[in-house]
Amino acid sequence: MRSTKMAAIAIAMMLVSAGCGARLTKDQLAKAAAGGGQVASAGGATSEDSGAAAAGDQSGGAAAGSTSGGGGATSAAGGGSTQSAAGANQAQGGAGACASQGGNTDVGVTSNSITLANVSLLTGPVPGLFKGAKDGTQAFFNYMNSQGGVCGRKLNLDARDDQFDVNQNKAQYEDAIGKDFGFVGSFSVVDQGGSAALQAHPDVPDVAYALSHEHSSLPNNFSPQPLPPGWRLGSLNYFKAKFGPDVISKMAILIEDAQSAKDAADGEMKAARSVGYNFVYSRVIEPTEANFTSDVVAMQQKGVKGIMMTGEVGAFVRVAKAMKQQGFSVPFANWGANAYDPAFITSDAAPATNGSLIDQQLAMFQGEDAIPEVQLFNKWLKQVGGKPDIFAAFGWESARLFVQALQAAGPKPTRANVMAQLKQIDNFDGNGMLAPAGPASKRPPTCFIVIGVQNGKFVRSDPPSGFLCNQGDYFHA
Amino acid sequence: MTEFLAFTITGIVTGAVYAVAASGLVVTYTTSGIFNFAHGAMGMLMAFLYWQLRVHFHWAAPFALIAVLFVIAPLFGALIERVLMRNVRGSDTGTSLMVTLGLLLFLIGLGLTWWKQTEPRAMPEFFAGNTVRIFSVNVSWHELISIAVAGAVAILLRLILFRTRTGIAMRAVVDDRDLTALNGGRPSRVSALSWSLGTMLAAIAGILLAPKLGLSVLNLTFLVISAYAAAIVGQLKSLPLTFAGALALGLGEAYAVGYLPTSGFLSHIKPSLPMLFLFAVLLFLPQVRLRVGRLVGTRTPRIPGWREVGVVGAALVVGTWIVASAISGPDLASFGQGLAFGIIMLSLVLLAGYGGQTSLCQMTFVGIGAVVASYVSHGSSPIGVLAAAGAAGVVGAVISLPALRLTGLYLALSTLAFAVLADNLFFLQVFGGGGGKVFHRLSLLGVSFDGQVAYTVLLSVVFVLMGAFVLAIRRGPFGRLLAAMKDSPAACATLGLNLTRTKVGVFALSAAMAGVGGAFFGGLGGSISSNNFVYVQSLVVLLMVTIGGILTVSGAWLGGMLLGPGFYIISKNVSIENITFLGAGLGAMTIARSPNGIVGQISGAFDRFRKQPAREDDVADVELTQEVESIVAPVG
Repeated sequence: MRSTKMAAIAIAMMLVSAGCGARLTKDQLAKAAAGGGQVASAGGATSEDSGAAAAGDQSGGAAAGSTSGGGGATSAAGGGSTQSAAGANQAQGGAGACASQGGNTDVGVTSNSITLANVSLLTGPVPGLFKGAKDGTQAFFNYMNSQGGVCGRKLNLDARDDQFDVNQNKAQYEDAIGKDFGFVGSFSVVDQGGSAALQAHPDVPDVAYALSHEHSSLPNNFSPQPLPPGWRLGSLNYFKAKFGPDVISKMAILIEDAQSAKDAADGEMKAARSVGYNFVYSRVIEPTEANFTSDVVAMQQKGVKGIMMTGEVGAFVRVAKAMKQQGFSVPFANWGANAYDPAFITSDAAPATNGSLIDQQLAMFQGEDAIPEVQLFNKWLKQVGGKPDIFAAFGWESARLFVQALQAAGPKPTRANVMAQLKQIDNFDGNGMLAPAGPASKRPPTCFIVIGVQNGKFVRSDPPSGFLCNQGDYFHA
Repeated sequence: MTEFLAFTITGIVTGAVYAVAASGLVVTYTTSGIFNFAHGAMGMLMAFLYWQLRVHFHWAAPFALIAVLFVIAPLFGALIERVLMRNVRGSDTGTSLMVTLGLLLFLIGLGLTWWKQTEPRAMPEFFAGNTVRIFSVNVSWHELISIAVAGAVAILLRLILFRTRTGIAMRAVVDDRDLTALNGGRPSRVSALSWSLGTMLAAIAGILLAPKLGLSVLNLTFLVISAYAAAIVGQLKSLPLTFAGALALGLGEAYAVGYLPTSGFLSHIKPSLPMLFLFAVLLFLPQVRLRVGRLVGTRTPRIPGWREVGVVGAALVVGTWIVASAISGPDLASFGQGLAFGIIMLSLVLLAGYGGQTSLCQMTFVGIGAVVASYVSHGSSPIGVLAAAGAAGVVGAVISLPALRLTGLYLALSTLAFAVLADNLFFLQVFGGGGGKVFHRLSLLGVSFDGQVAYTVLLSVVFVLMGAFVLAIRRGPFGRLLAAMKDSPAACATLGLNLTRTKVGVFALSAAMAGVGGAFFGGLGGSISSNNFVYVQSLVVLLMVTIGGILTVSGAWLGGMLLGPGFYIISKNVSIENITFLGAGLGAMTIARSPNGIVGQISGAFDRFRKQPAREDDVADVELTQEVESIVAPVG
């Protein structure tokens, strides 16, 4: 409801933090960014644009056969970093061997175009917060169209705004089902509305990172990084080995007062405890809390040596600044994926956040990583006026996943055969921009990277390229 | 002991932040008689302007401070007074609250439009990096400045308001504007000065808070709500007590962090502490004395006859059916949503329009109704509707108990505190994360209303029935009692009318109607979640029904249409960022000129067209006698 939109104001307090709306903090995002696997696209797009044709971009033309990836480095046992089996994931445009045939093969398909819908929260309490979801999807479509489209068909995006309204979200899905071929890259904090529409039309493919359980659990929803309740054990084991039992037995965690943040923290704490972590201090914080000195004093009293947070980047910065003001530093400060945000390293924040660690299950998509997919993403995103945030990254990779299935479906795409292809893609790493995961089986990623903050900049800490895998499985809460 | 002292120091620092914010609220109220909901938003705007000058344009801090505190803020305050607040003079509490709420929305819209929140901004503290160690706690110079400013503000304002002619004039204008003018005062100029002073204090609070809280439009705007409790400690009059209340709140929060358990029910106390504090303070306030010297007479619009109700109701249902059949998809969804909001707004027509009781927690009752209905066949059973009405009605009756002692602004704030507490302690617990509860549409006697058109028509039928119910109440003895209570509680009490029963009854009835609204509201989107019922929703619903016309059933319908399809159509067709914030804000500000809303305007215009004397729909103050404070009657 529109009221929500303004009501959201309140929420926004928690939202902003959440980055997600309704009582959601960016935490669902955090969850989003939290998945696990890693793979650096080796073969992947080693070149841009035309480079799609280059090494690794095997899906060109008839993409057939490139649907199910090879190897998933998701759960594992060994150790070390992994480079992606990327080639199998590549989606590339062009008519090639699958020039358009068959004309109007299904809803939203003509002889020269395919229209897909994106239902995102575009005008919520923090306007533009989720705009990246649309921009990222549009950027990938533009890229594909520059390569000739999919089997000669141009990709059109029917971008829709649910206005932070579950009723509108549902209505937009219902309306688009009758007009568009499927859904791609949607991102909304009220996506449970659309889940009802999709449930009634199980033949309609939906590729997106869904926030609500109702939506993400649908059989026709395919996420580039499925994230069930729980947490990745790999990064927890990694930090355990790095800092030792003395540190992980005296942990603190601050949790934003939003249900999604609480859920994420619950999964993370259970997973952490399962591998030996002990939390001596925890507290739920309000989005509008400005003074964390009391927490710092309490943490000092309890001998805290490591800190985690779930919430929004603004709160991270405030806590870090309070710690610095009190001269309280801990060997292990891991702020989580939401901290990979320019707000974490502003001139005001950097003195307090330098030395921090961040583990996440996406490559450094803001451009620090030199892998071709990141460069390609940033280049095309810039052309649509977008900014490289996590929503754009998921929009881009959702579009890549959808197109991969679309190409595999061949020149006569129907919802049924695209759905069939999606059900075969169970190792997807977005050409190295995402930790590998299993969209078909809803298998979460387990690989990760570690980012450090040095001199006010994000710096890849470990591994030098690709993702760290084989450090541990996924803890299902 | 060291730990205790450390928490004490941090509590004082936090308290100083609250004190600065609360002092501005108190000053504005003391000098204008208006509780300014937009105080935080004004501070936010000034903080961003300071950032713009200081950081973006690289002005030296003193110049930026002088420009914002002594030029921009006073001018802005005077402008607000001239174009907006002057028109609120003499209005009831609800009207002035809605106008300031509209200003809040408008300023948020400006802030979001001018300073995109997706871009990071840093605002350094004053003398960043310098600290002083006090009892093992490093206190920054910025925090010391905040404490000093809070203390100085309390002392200086006390002196200004009570020891200077200007201050006395400010208070005199609030007490009796006309008498002040008769004695040679210049009320308009004094009012402008009051708003300038209030805006300067808001600017000080915003500039001091921004480096600690971050440059967030919404956080800076809403932090002030936590300071309401401190302001109420001083009963919105006493700055020293406000300062003490702020310190108590800050200390309470610090000790809660240090000593309350971090799991279990008590772990929820810390986030809810400001609202618990507010609720407690309101409960312990002295019982409001009834003022008999002032009668606010309101001439309400004509009550339609039953034949007219029948004809209009049937036309509405048929019209809804025709429109619903002609449109589809998101357009139809927004139309249905408007009707659902209309049903909810009817409950406010009864409570606030007829009974004069301001409720800022109506969506909480809606949420309670929706939750209860969802537990009964996921909302598809008529029994669920009845259960929703019953549960919400009972909660409404309980919540009305403070209303027996409180009136006007205090009553409004107590309902606001209840709404926020319900958010923190009820809805977040009932709803899990990552979604909500599945909610099916009603099935009645084997007839399913699952289709969008059918459900929309059903909503229109429910609206008509409930509208008729509201009109029936208005025409009956209970309605006349409500009208009398609204006009003069003291007169009612003097005549032996039972105000206690009336207040509890109208709250319970209104909450039950809102609960019914919740049972139908849930069916719109197929699911409900906690964010449907956050407290700001209640403010928005009250705002929109006030814009539509809170004294009439047609005003509720119009309010719903504005909130549903109105905003949807605007957002869809007008490519102006934040148009809904800006539009809603501007719309609300028109309430200052037309308290009876759009329906009142239309009604007046219609009367003029028919060359009849315009009905005095607008609230009219009728001064009967000088206020006789000694004549009091206990409420209830």
